[in-house]
Amino acid sequence: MEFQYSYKGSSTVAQSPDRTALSFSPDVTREPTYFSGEIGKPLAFREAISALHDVVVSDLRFKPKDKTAYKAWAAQQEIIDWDEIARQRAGNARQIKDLQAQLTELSARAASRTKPFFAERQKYFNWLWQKDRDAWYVLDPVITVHPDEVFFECFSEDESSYGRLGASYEVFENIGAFACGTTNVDYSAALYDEFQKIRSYKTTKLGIDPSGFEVTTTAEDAFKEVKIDLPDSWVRGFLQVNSAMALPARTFDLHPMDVHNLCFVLRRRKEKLGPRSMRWHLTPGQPVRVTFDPWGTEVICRRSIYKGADAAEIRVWGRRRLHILERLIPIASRFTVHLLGQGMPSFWVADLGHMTFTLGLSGWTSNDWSKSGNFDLLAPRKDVDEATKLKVFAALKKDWLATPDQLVATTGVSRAHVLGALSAWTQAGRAIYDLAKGVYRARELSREPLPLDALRFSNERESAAMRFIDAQAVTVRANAGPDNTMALGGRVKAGGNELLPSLVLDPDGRVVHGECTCNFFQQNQLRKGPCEHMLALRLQHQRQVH
Amino acid sequence: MKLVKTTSLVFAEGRSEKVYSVELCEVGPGQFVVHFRYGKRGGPLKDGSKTVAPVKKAEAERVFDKLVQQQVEKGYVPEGASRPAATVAAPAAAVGTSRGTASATSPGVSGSAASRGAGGSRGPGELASEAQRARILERLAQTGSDRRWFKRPGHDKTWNLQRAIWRAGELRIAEAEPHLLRLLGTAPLSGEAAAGGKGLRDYCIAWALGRLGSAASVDALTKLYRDAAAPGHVQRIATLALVALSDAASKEEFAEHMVASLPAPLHAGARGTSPEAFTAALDAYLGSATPDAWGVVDVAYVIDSPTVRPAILAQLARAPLAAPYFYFIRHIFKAAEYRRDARVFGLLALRIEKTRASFAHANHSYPGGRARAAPEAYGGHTRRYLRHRIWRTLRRAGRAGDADYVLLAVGVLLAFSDRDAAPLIDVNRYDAWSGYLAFNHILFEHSSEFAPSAGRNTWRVKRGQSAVPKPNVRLEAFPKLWEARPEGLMHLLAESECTPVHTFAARAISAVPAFLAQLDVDDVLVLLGRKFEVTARLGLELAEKRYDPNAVNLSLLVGMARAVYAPARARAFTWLDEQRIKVLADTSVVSALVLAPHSDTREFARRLLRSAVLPPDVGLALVARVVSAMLALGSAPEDDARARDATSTLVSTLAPHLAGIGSAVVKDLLAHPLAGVQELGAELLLRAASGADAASIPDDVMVQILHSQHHNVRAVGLRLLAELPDAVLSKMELLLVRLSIDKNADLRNASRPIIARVAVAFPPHGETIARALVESLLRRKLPDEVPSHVLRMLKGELFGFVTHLDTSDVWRLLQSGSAHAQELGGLLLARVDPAQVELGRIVQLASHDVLSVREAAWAFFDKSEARVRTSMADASRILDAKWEDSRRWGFEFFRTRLGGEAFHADVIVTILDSVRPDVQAFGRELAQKHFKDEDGPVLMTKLAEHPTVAVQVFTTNYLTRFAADRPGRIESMVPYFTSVLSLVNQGRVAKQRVLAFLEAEGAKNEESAQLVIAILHRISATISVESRGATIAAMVAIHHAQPGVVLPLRIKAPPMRGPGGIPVLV
Repeated sequence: MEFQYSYKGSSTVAQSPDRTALSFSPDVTREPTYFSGEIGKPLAFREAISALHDVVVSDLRFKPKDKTAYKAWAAQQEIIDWDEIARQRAGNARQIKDLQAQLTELSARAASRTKPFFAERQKYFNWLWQKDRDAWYVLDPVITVHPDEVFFECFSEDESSYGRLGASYEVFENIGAFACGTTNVDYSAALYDEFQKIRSYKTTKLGIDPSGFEVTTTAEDAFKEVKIDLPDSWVRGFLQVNSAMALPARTFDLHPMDVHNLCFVLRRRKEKLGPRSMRWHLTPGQPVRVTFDPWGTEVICRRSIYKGADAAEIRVWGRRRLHILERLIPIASRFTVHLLGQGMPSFWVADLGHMTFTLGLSGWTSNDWSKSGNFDLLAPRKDVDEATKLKVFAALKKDWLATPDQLVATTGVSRAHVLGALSAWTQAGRAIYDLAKGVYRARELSREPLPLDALRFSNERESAAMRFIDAQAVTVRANAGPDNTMALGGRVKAGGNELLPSLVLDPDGRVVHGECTCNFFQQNQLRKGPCEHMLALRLQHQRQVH
Repeated sequence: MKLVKTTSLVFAEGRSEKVYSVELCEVGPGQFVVHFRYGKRGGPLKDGSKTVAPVKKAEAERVFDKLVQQQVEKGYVPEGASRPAATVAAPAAAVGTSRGTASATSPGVSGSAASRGAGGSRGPGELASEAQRARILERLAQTGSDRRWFKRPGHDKTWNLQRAIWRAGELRIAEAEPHLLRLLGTAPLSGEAAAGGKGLRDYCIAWALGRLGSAASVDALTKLYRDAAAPGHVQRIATLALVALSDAASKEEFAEHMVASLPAPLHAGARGTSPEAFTAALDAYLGSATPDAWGVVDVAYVIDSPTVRPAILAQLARAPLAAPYFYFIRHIFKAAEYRRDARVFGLLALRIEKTRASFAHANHSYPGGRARAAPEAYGGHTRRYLRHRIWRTLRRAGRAGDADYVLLAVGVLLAFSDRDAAPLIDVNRYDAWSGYLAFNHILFEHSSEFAPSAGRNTWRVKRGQSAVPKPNVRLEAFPKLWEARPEGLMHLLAESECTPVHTFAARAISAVPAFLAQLDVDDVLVLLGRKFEVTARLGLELAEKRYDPNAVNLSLLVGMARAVYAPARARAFTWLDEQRIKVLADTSVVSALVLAPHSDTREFARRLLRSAVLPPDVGLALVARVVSAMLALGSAPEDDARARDATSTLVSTLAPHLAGIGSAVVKDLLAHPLAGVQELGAELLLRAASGADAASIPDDVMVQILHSQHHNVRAVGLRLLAELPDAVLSKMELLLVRLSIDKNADLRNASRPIIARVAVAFPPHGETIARALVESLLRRKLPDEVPSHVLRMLKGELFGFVTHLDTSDVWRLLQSGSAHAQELGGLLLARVDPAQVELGRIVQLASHDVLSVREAAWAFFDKSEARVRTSMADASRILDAKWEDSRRWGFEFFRTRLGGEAFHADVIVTILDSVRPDVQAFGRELAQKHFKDEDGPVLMTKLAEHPTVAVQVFTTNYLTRFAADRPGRIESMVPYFTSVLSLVNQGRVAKQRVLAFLEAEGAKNEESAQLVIAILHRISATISVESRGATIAAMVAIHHAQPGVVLPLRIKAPPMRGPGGIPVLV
């Protein structure tokens, strides 16, 4: 999916010993959105926006080492070794040895002569990397100005973490004219360094200024055109995490030092084997307990009592992403955690006084098929007709934010339909549920509406799996297997046939083995991913677990 | 905090160089701390502290000395001190000492070892001696099988009749014909093969009749050929025999008959006379048919007319040796052997030698009749049999003294080329040709060192023998047969592409001086034209014998001068020099020399012509001849070299005669694809123009030259351009600018001096050009290399013009996307008055990507010291420049040029605010060096807000001095304490200091105690054992000191434990 932005100039931070002016350059092709104000709590803002930056650059996907050069060398070396063996047999060993010594000497000399060249070249590559670093950030953050707060949103490069920093107007002083709306802002790595210089003894001015920041008398292009080709999976991930926010979840508060403790455990040890999950033990009236797999380390959050109605044990993965919250520990008064369920997204809302920072984490760090099933998140909750949807959206957009009850009152539509319409808009990226304040907000992620139909499923097998679920054609049974694995078996009625898919999940919930009696599996095995029946089986199991 | 003393230590080992610096600082009156920093030299250093809380001076000194001593014991040495000997790199190992031992490799060719003497071979005689003849005829007459022949003790053996028949055919014993005709059909078809069954006897008879028979046999063979009951192989051999015995007319009739048996699509091609048409038809037919259809090649080989033969050869060269093809290939191989078709025989022999067997063992025997159904063909045994059969055929022919030996051997040898040399397995015992059986038999049969291996499949050097070939010893098989037919050797010399074959043939043919004497000039030139040295040397020897200074044969000399063999050319030059009068009179000879394929010959021709004066008519004729020959050249690269040399010869030696060339020819020359030819055209043009006004050359011709794809031609165009007067050139500014940014380097480079000249002569035009070039530099997307060229010009000869550019233009250059424009901007920047540039802009320029810009910025900064002093806050931002060199320059400037009075607290804070470790380190250095007590509180409160852990740790040094006993200050620093204590798994010393400080302050008064308890209460939820214990202990201590403060702790009495540690209820 291609996104196009046009900025007038770049976002800049002007520093002086007593003043910091942050001027974000918004996308001029979108409806004018602007804001200006002085930040009352600059330090908290600095830490929070730095955490947001950490979300943008976060990429915890497993990156295997590139061993091609080594393998090529090893293959060549093997030939040389065999060669040498053959030659030694031919009785030339001593001569070869002398020649080898000479060769080694020569190559050492060659290496010492070429060394400065390679060193300089490496320096040049490093410089290039630094210079083009902005190309590494996938999507510039989105800024939304609403009548009660300004918020920044971003989504990480590894398609798994969502960050949202909301600043209420209480944070700002001397608020100038503003226009509500949503826009993308130009963002670069150098900005992060400038954010670090925000101090409480300097007045810090935040401006979102469509007229741009007239810095130079430049002959450069007046507008900076940015074209970003985003993978569909990225957009899908963003929407999935977004829509998950509006789903019912188990919620509890954590003391800031509890988050410190979680990070502390993770900083102290590094797992080499799975499962890499955190198990949340929630017992009503008891402190929240967390155990870390595979070590079994238990952290008891003694100052955080679970107040929910029933007990639960919830496993979540991708725990190293929590380090993003480290900078917020000293400034947060509490963290509110929303757990949707095992392997489902989770949300961490840091209360920073009049600011809130929301960290949304998808089920796993890498969103590959073996852990998926999250396409369920983009399924319509309730069928609502187009006219009602538009009516609800118009009402929402009028005030920019509203609770469902307020919308029921203003539109006269039933509550169920309002919620259905809102979830549809959330999935389409045009509205967002604000976990901190419990309101829906109008926020259009992109200038053009996103093609939700194209985005909902990454392939047609997922949509077929959804149809089986909807038609209630799936039965599933789960058996514990050896080594903490889980074996799923079941039947899927497809047309006149009955198919028998089966799956084996490892303790991390990954599919380690799968089989089906369908034609797709017979032809492709698992090379093209699981068939629709396996997906349906897994999804059905997930639904039963929750 | 004030630096009292510091020690820098370094540690160097191998490629690593680490530094360790220890600092002793005074943080308050009588309070000292010891810090250390360490890490790789040049990289960011890690900080640490040896004193959690400030200590007395004596104690600090002790800690300091101890730390330094510890590091020295680890191998660190004080900076500047000489390094211990162990760390000095070991002297490089002596180079080349072992070089002398590397020469004992044996040469690759070892095949031609000394012979065991010429006496080993039997002399050629009659094909069959009287005794043989009598014995064979007797055996043929004796049809009974119980008669014993060739008795040996203990063995009773009868000579097999079939063998006798075959031998009769081999030796062409004509008297055997009646016997054979009588024996035809006498063996029962169903009998044993040994007894002539399965058609074997008839096969042998037909084979022999074809070789020895007369017209009398034709009827019998025809009958056999038509006999439907006869096995296929008998029919096929009968066919071949019939063809061998027929006269021309019946051969033609038979060929027509065979053509009719070809598939219909091939009829027209086979009857026609065009080999290409038949090849195309055959390819098309085989391409569309099943592999089985390949059998038509077998049929076509029976026809074997000049029309079909090329197609057959092409098919044989590429058909796989596998089923179903091999069935037919085997037939063709035997037919070729029978017909003494050396070409086909040699081709297939090579293919059999080079193609590995389809399978290793011969359990899948190859019954001819069922071949189509057989899954595989061409097994290991088949291949071995065929390889040996090739040599056996040759050997038997050779032993019989048959002249066919030479014929077939030539065919076998000619099939080999140097490309067939195999990779060496063992240089001591094998050579590149070891794997070829018949090849080695033919060439090295009489070698005493080189012999077949035990399995007789390869040839190798005998153990203990030298592999170095002895010169001039003949090693081949049947040398007498070769001498009897030296044309075979000549054939090899003329056509073979294989070095060992040439070595053999040149040596063998030298033994036949009579034959060599009658070779004509063309033959000698053929030998001289070969790339094989032995052959070319032989040719040169022959040429020397033929050269007679009084009756010179110019064609021999020309041929030698154009020969591949360099000594032959050298000799030819000598002779040509001797005969120069005759040579110069013959334009065809000179023209051939001028355009000779080798450069030394062309050089010689130039020399010859240079020293000669040709009469006008001869000169003109020669020029015409050379030019027309040049126009006829193709477009190959070697032709280009010839054309270039010819051009330079013509220009340098025949200049007076060149005027005669018409302008139409000049245009033709310019239109020729070869650069060398175009050059001549351009040169002629130049000559025509130089006399008169260069401006008179037609524009289209000028453009044609300047746009030529050959740089030499363009160079001539540029020369024409350069000859224009400056006044004319100055009006061609656009053209000159266009040439300066052309993608061809020669145009750019050549236009450069022209522009320089114009610029000097006509400064206004120079300025226009310079401006246009600056604009072109600002425009992006110039071809590669062009921007740097333009920049060189603008930096060089045109610099005087660009210095007049406005300051605004300089900024435009600096902000352009092109690095070259930026560099020019940087150079021009030096001419801008520093006073006119704002300090902020100078700081910006110090982060510029182009070095010259940064350098200019440093120079500006250097000259603006007064301004720097007045606005230190802005100026100090140069230290945070993007580029390390700018930062280092800035550090140096700030260190050396500015005194302590310039660095007040705000400036230090601004510097420390940077996120770069090196800048922070510099900031800390300044903070320690220029520390003033009155700055302390400002530094402490401002640095406390720094997000970096290192600076937060640094700030702890100020706590006791400037925050103690000041509750208000503690309150303002609560966020700082919280963030230090909340650090996850880092900042141990900082945490300890902060805790110690808080505990001390909290105990002092209730107000502080409230604040401190609140902080500690929050932090005490940590699971870090160290922090949790310390916070709780601190809270309890504060509670003891200030009992009025509520302690957020509930103290549980420890359970009483009885014996064995069992809890006891009290």
